[in-house]
Amino acid sequence: MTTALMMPTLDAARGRVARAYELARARRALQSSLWVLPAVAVALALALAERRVEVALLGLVLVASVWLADWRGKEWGRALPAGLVGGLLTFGAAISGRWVMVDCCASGAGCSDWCVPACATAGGLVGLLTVLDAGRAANPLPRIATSASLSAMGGAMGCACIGYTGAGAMLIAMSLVLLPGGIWLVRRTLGVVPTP
Amino acid sequence: MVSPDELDGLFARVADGDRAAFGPVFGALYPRVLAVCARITGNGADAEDAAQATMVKLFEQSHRYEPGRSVLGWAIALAVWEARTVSRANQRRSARSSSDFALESLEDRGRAADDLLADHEMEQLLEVAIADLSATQQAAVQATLRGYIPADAAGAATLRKQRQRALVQLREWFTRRLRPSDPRSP
Repeated sequence: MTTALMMPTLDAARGRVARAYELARARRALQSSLWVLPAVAVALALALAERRVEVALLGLVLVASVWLADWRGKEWGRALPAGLVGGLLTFGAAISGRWVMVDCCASGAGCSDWCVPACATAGGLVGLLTVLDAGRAANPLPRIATSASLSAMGGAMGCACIGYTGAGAMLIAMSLVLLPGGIWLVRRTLGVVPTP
Repeated sequence: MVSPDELDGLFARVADGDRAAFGPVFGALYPRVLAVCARITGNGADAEDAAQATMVKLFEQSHRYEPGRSVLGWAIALAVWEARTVSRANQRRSARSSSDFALESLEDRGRAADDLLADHEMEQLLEVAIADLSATQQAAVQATLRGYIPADAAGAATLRKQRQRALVQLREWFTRRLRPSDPRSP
């Protein structure tokens, strides 16, 4: 068989295998993203009635982001464990605030006493964990971006159950740790600062 | 030519979602897998089917790949399995088609037997019908069947007339006979 005759067959085979590979990755990513659904369900169950739409939207975006990261693979996929653990921490902090301060949160008064500090602390802690995890990656930027986004969405979903102040506090605290940490990691990758 | 170690590294990247490594892995593995399949199936088209099925399975299950394992060994094991499956399917198909052929020839023989039986029945009927003819008409039919040609013109004309009458009689007899609801049928 000549090379010219073999080429269409080879291209067709390659195309078929590539499609099967992408489909398999998409299926597997879908299975991974379904693990987030229980957290979304808990957030929806605990959310104040007027916040349910926001929580549902955040949950939907979180599921889609997990699917996208897992399907994309490489650093984006490797960021999933850190992102999901971070998201669970921030989500847990916000939800615990909801449980502890049931009465005050229902009335809207006194939330800042517990919820906002809890969300801010969780955000700072998760930011630190994200930087530490990304420090081990060869290409830290996509790793930080993915895990920080997932953590922020998970936390925001929990904090949004109560109010935007908690979500905002969490995001500010996370950014305060992530920005200098991220800059330091990028400088290290570029060789500006020595690797420890 | 990609070495087995390089191939393992490239496949680990594919398993991690690195699309850039897909082409080199496919290019290195497909010809080897195709060669294994061709040796087992002994047929170009079947070998290609088996090789494609092997590659599809290999890449679909790439997430199961453990770094350090030989991807070439894995691919060849899958190729042997797929090629044997294709070969077995072909054997079953050809066995089925030969049994279909045997069945068809049996049916043909059955049909031939039916025809023979019908011919035999027709001969018997013809004998009965001829027996119903008058003696002169019977003689005319027998002379025609034996190929007898009278030497004189008058004899030939008489025989032709007797034969035509016999044929009319026979046609009427068969018409009655083949119409079972007719009460006049014998």
